[in-house]
Amino acid sequence: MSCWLLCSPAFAGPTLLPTGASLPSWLGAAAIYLAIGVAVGLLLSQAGRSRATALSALACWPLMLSLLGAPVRPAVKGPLARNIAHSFDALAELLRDEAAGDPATAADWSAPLQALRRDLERADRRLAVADRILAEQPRYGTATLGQDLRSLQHARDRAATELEAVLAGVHQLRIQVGLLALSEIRGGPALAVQRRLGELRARVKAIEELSQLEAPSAPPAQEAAP
Amino acid sequence: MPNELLQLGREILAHPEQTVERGSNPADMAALIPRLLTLIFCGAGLFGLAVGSYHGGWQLLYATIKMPLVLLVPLLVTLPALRALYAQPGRPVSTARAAMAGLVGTARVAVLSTALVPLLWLLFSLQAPYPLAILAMAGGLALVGLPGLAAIGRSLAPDGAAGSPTRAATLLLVGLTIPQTGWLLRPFVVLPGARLSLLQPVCQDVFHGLADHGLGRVRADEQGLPSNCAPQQGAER
Repeated sequence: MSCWLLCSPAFAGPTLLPTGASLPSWLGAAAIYLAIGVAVGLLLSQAGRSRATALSALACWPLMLSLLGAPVRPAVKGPLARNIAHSFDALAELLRDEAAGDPATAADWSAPLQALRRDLERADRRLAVADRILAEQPRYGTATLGQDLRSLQHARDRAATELEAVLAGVHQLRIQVGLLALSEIRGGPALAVQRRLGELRARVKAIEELSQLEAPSAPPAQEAAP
Repeated sequence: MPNELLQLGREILAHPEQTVERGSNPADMAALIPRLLTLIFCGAGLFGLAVGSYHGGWQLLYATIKMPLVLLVPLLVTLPALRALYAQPGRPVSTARAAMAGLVGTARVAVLSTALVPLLWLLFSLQAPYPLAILAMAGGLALVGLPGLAAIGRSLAPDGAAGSPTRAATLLLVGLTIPQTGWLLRPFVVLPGARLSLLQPVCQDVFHGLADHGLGRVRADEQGLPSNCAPQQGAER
């Protein structure tokens, strides 16, 4: 029936198939491909991926299967998200510049730079969580609640200060690259960037470890009870 | 969004390996894939539009739709084989890395193909004969395909460990699948006045088809269909 419609001489103007030809066998395969694409897109959408990502599955779902089991990065952004993006984009842009860095060594610094950025973004999102809790009005008060909130505020402020210091370090790194570029030391910027990135990453890790030390191992028994 | 696309386009032309490196983790991969697909569909679509302008009319639309598929389908078909080719003992190529390498390489080809659009239009406006128009389209695609292929190779073997046999096998694999996909989809230059259709029946392969053309068994105005595949009735022109 569909073939009769598609191939009919009455189907004036542009045709889907040449007159007299039967439906190609791969049209069925294309339909199956699209159906699987719809299913993968739905699964990605349910997993919390963006609409654009889910829609992309229609075109290239075999390339996106690895996303199905991967954890979804929460959409929440921290208070320093904009500064982090700006600082790292500017540094990457500078390092790609042939006059400033050596593009041939891009592979050396690209991975640690991305790793530091991810660490910072993760720490920044933790700040956002703390901010959200601090912004809530407590509906039930206990004797220690005020003290706990003050501790949280204190820890949050200290973590934010540390993160800002790391961002300042990233900015300082740009200046260092500029200085090395002027001195025309071959391979200098790449080595300096790697070393400095390692130091900054260690600093972010230290914030994480400090937070873990400060965190209570379990809530007190009297507060856990309703 | 347009600024992000322009920035990504610049990045995949200048430093494709960095984009692959960035997209190898799932969170960035999920954000990059829609943008890369947008570049592929816009770039290759524009190239298809230029190719379709030789005939005009509905072929403008058909070639615009089909040309991105000519680049994407071979990627999907050959990627598992490429992944196996570039894997080394103890160092397999991850699925995410292979997917990103393929998409970045294809997007590179699509972006570069837009540079051919003015040349094609100039050629067509000079009333280029049909064989020359076909040759210009195929030659142009082959020319912009090489940087894309190089980007895929470098991304799959970042330390340059891929030897000449691997590179030759990649070239052979892609060199077989892209022409065959083009043969199936036919986003080609079509003679003005030839009857158009969106889909074509599957018949023969690209090499037999071209051989038929070379031997003169098929007339060009039959849209490149070999004699045994040509429509039996109503090939109206």
